[in-house]
Amino acid sequence: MRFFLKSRRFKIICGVTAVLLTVSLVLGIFGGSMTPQAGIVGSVTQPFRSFASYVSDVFSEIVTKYNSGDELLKENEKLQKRVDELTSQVVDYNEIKKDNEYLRDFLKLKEDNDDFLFEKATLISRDNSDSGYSFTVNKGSVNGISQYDPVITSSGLVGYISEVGPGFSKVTTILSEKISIGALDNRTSDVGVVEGSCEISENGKTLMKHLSRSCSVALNDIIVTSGGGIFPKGLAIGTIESLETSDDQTSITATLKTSADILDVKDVMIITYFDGQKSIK
Amino acid sequence: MNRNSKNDEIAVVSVSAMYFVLYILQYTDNIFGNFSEFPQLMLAATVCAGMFFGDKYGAIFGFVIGAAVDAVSAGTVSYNTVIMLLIGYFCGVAVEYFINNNFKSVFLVMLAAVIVYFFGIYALNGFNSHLFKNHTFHVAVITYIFSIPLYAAVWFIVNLRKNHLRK
Repeated sequence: MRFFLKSRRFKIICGVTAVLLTVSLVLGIFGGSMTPQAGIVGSVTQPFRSFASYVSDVFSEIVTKYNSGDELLKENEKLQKRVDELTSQVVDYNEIKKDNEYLRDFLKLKEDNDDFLFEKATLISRDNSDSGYSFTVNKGSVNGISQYDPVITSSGLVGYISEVGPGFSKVTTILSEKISIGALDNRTSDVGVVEGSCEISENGKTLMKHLSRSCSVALNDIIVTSGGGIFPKGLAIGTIESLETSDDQTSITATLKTSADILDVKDVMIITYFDGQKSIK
Repeated sequence: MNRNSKNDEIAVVSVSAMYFVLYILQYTDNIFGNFSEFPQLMLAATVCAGMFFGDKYGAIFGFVIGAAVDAVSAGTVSYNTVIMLLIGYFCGVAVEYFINNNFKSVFLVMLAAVIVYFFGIYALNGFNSHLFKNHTFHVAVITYIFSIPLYAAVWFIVNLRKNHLRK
């Protein structure tokens, strides 16, 4: 035992561990970028992961086509597009209604979007053992991506960039328990906090907590980001599926079906800039 | 196979190739469907590397595998690199000094590795008992279950090479 503790190899392992912990500590404090070793190994394996993802997509498309038929798939795509369109219209409608009725300076979502700068990205790998369904995309710091950039699809919010490598980035989704987003009901403006839960994440659902007991939210209301954090205002998060009083009886918790199909997402848009973002970073 | 006996390079390369394929499969979206609980096969792979190839290779495998896992896991910083480096190394040391590398001892070594690794995950998640009870614990159990066939696969590759060299 003494020989083992005094061995050169044990000392090297202790040294390497100390270096790794120091690097982690530094990165933990300053945040943002990935550790050097993960960046290197991740960059080396990225082409293989991209290729495997492509093969998996092709294969899964073949299986889907075989199972459900081409026509059904087309019809489904058409309907999905229509649902996205209608969701977007409802968001706009409520925004405009609110603008007319209450606040003149309440900005419309479409007007807000003028300042957005987008970067298209594709999913290359997913952490299957993560209850929050985090994934990796094929764009990194060389593409102008930074930590905390919001990630969306045409349907709604997906999550944010949690770590940035040179040519790839990790996305923490809104299904994760690690996330906490300020949100409001698009119709009633009741505010709450959206937090993931491992018990319902596998169904593409998340929770909106801390809603006041006197709030007037209802089923099928659309929940959007309230802004002021790392996300711009007005991004669709999800639709209310059920409501229940919290365990401590002081607030209401809503279960949301996320607007974006996070479990099957392939292509996403990363918002690399929006007004007010600089002050957050 | 201990530190003093030279590792069969072809066996090391073959196991590395198997691990690489396993890594790609584990982290490719939709390939096994979207399961909420999926075994951490890379942990079992690190343990096997330490047990079959000794502490030096165990540490190297652990470092590379850990870095690869850190590259795709959210919010882990260097956790996987550090913990898998240590697990790979100590599994090699355990086989060299304290236990034999056989199917009996693998149950014990894997259990120890799974406990250490997932306790670390529990700590990394801020001792979130809700997440641990509903997710992490299940992943730990299925990782332990899946680690045995993986050990058998590595054992098969290594022994296939041994028999080939004997002939």
